[in-house]
Amino acid sequence: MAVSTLTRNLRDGELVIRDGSNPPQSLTVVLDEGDLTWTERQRTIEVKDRGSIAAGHTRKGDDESVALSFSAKWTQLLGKAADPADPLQLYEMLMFVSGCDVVSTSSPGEQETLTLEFTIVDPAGVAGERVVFEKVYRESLTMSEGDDANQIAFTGRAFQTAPSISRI
Amino acid sequence: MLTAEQITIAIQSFWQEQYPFAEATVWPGTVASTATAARWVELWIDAWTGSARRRTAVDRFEIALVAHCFSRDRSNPLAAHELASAARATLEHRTIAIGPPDEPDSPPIGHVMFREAELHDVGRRQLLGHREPLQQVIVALSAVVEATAAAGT
Repeated sequence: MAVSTLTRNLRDGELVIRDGSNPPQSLTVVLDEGDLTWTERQRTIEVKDRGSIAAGHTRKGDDESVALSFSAKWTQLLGKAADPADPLQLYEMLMFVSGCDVVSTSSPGEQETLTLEFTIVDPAGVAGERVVFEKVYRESLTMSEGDDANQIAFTGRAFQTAPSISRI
Repeated sequence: MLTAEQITIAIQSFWQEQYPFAEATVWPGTVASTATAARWVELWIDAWTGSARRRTAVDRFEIALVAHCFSRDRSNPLAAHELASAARATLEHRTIAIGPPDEPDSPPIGHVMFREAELHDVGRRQLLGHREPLQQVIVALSAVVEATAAAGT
């Protein structure tokens, strides 16, 4: 049985962002806070019979995209966009800044999206897992100053009802 | 991973070059007779504290550095304060590069970033009675030590 019952925590995770290039440009978020959060919502239509739940029924509602967020310590905002020889930076990738050649994972004309890949290593080394969020678009990107470190906070949605999870 | 030796060497080298009273420094691990010294400074890195982070994240932790400034200079009752003020000016808000061992021309493998200093006068001259008055001022600083990231954030 390749299942481990050890609890996982932020130390076990790794977040990688990929774009739609071939091969994709990827960026490992090495200073993220370990606060990746996602919510898979399910919509339901409640049909009540003259206001009564007991006599009513439910139906499946519209699909709901996955809401996700994470934050990271901020080092350099622009890298490749300022100098093609410099490594790609988190801010410019999430913002699709001109000059850094980040390509959307969605078709031209659609909203710009990326792929987020979250890997959770099993501390026992038995059953790591990979969670892939496709077509992730940005809803907000908040930059804030702080005593310990400045932060970039991303909130967005993956245009799918649930991320795909696989064992690695 | 950054090692304690690399960080200590970087800080001590910087101190040696920048601190105006570097000759008065008593380094940890050395034996020095202070019985006749008019003034001296002991430089200690007291604590190394890591915070929660991913295994794959860059090495990052806090250190606490303390400079103990001593003086027996009867002619200058603020001599220890002078040492302390110089220590604060030397380290506060400074960023020190950590070089790779044996490769002085290579890019830094990390940095030490000092925050604000805190000074405490712990001299107790009135308790020393007839003995030589000993002034002591402690300069405490915390710093973030961060390894250089290969790419991105």
